[in-house]
Order: sequence, then C-alpha cells, then structure tokens
Amino acid sequence: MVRCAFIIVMTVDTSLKISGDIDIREYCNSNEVGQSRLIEQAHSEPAVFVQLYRCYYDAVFRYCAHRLFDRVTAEDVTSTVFLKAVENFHRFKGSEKQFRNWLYKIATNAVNDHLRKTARRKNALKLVGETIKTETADRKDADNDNAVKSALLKQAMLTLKPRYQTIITLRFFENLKLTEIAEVLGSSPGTVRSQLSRALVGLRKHIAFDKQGVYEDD
Amino acid sequence: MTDYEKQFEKFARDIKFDDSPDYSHRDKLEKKLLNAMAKHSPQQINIWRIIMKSKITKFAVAAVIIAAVVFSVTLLDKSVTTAYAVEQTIEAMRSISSIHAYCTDWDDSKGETWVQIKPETGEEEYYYADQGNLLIVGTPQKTYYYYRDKNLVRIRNEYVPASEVRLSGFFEDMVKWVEQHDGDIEFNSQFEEDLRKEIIIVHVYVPAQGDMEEKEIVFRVDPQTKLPIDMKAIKTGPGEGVKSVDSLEYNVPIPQGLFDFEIPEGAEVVYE
Repeated sequence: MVRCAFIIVMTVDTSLKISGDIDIREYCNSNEVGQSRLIEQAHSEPAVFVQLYRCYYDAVFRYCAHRLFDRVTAEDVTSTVFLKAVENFHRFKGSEKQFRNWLYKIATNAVNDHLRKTARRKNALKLVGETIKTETADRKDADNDNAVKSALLKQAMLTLKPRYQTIITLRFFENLKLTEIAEVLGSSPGTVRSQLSRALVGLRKHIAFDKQGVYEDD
Repeated sequence: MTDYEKQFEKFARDIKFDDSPDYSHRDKLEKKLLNAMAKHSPQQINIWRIIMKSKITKFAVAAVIIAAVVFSVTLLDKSVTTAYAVEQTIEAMRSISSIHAYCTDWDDSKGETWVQIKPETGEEEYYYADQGNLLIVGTPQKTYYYYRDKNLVRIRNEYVPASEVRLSGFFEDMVKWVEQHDGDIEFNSQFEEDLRKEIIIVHVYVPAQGDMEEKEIVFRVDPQTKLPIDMKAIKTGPGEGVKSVDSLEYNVPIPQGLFDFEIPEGAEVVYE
C-alpha cells in the first residue's frame, strides 16, 4: 500500500462550513464565538481566510462606498483592500475584532490613496454641485428628499480632510465606537473625540438643522 | 454627545445609500484572492480545498487531477523515486494538450467538458463545459455563461479559469498536500470484461478530517498509456465533487469552433 492522499477536487467544498464545525453564517452573525480560533486557522488554511473574507466583504464594500460615493470605484478599492490583506495577513496577529479594524485600516489607506491619486475629491465636488441641482429639480417624488440629503452629505464630506471623513464614516455609517476608530487610526480615543468634534464643525458649515432637528435646505 | 452630533447622526441614519454589495463582484474577487493566496501562502496546497464552485471546475479539475495522480501512482509502482516520479509526471502532464471528459453529478445530471491546455506550460487555455442548463465557454479574452432556460448570457471580459492554478503546478502542490494528510491508495491489476483487457484499479481512501468528509474513490487506469479511463466516487461529502467521471480522453482533436461562442438569437446579454 502506498501512502497517499489526494483528490482535493473531490473535496471541493462549496458549503459555508469551516474547520472545527463552526457554521460561517452563525459565525458572521456572532460577536463572541471562537473568533480567535478562526483567525489562527486562517493563517494556515486559506479556506478559512476566504470565509472571513465573506464575512467582511459587505462591511468593507459599504465603507468604501460611503467614502467614495461611487459603487464601481468602491468595488475597485474593495478589491485592493482584500488583496493587500492577503499579502500582509501573515503579519497580522490579533483577534477577530482586531481583524475587522485591521481591514478598516487598510480600507482607509486605500481610499485615501485613491482620492489622492485621482484627485477625485475635486471632480466629485464639482459633480456633486451639478447633480444636486439636476436631481432635485427633476424629482418631485418621495425619493427627492433622500436624493437631496445624500448629495448634500457628499458635498459636505468631500470638503473635509480625509482623516475627518474617515472618522465621520466610521462613527456614523459603520457605527464604530471611538475606541474602535482609534484602533483603526492608530490613535487615542481622546484624539479621535476631538477630531470628531472638528469634523462636525466642518460639516455644520454645509449641513445645518433647525430646532426640531430637521435639516435646513437653503 | 452634542445636539448637532445627535442631529447629524439621525440625518445620516435616514439617508438611503446605494451601497448594496454586488455578489458577482464578491465572487470574482474571491477567485483573485485565491490566486493571490497561492502566491503568498507558504502552504499553497490548501487552495485546492476551495477551488471554484461550478461543475466545470469539478469536471475539468477532476480530469486533470486524476491524470496527475495516476501518473504518480504508476510511476511509484515501478519503484522509481518520488522526486523522479514527480518530475516525470510533470513532464507527462505537459504532453497533454486536451482533455475531454463526460461526467455525472450526484443528481445524475450529465456534463461534457473539453479543456485545451498549453502543452509547454500546462496552463489551460480554453474550455467548454456543457452542463445541461448551463453552458460555459472560457476563452483568453472572455468567459461566457449561457443559461438555456432563461436564454440569458453573462459575459465576463476575462478568462475565468476552470482550475484556479496552472495544471502543471497542480501535481507539485498535490504532493505536498499528500505529505500533510493521511490517506491510503491501493492499486491492483485485474481483467476488465467491459474493456476486454487488463487494467489497473486504483482505490483511494481518505479519512474524514477537519471540514473534509470521508472519501472513497475508485478509478481505472490504462497500463499502457498510464492515463485514467474513468473514475467513480463511492463516498464523499455532499456537494464535494462529481459522482463519476465516466470517460476521459486525452489529446483528442478539439472540434473546430467549439470555443467560438455565439450569442443565441434573442438572448439577454449581461456584461460583468
């Protein structure tokens, strides 16, 4: 008898089951169970890394979309983020929660790189200014209010420094705590708090609310 | 939290963004990651566990891996060194320019696959996989997916490989994987009535481990060509590969125009 093992093709595993009998759907929805174990496994098992990828793809994509205001560009940047994650994963030593923050950190750098390289900020600003007028003029339906708010937000966000944009996005759209944002940015929670305040001051120049909290459309 | 912060939080929460992920992009990126991991991971072999999902992969890779394994088995049977066997197998793999396979899946659906391989590199170049309702044609420039029931064609402007790796590299990686897992392979010679000749029966057993279920597979090998004739899975996990590769042919001239995909009349076309 010759010792051998093979037929990976026979083990093509399209299910979401990962090593150790943890169901990935449960895992993705869980905040507690066995995370560090999976990170450990992912270092030696690319299959597990792929499952982690599936868990975090949505979050990274949404973060990129909120930062870039364009889904196609967001997909490109999301690709960059995960390819960099693969490249550098051997250096990552942390828990699953830290892994998520690590991905946000890579995403933040990738988004900022993209903005710098393409000068998209300026183009977007110009475009947004034009779009607000056309979108709001043409639409009278219930979506009109959403379109106006969305365009207003884009315009306001793009006037901020990239770091402030990051903080606003992580705080209000990804719902991260200040401590988590601090970890992403490699900063202290106190610093993030004061930068958040400055970012809000910047936003206030463009988005104002009346006493009832309704934004004022000027 | 200041009043403005609260107001802005509500304002942000109420906005409906166009931020729903597109899962075709996710799947596409997943494949890129697999390729990237193959380059970066010191344990490249594990990528085999997560080859593509489609039947084409199962079929095409099944054909190839069986070829690779049987090469090694037959060479090892002649008591040559493993290294030499590997080398010879790689060389032998490179001599294959096409594979034609008929397969049966666990739902008894039939599939036919053709793969054209660059003999000098072992890399696949074109493939054609007819899986009944779904036809996939991979060409260097584009990959076409035709869903017959919906008369829908999806086109990707790239070659989506049937196998995630170079076929010539497949065997090298597999040997490493063999070293890491405990399994057994037995082979015997017996006269097969249906073929009317003596053939080699290769019986493979891999115990369940981790997320991989127990597997027992038998394939028959032509002692003259050192190539497998067919394969049958006796035990395997659900969704883990085809039930059988009913026939395998090598270096058969590929029908002219097989990889020239033409969009059927009236079909809806989606570019991705």
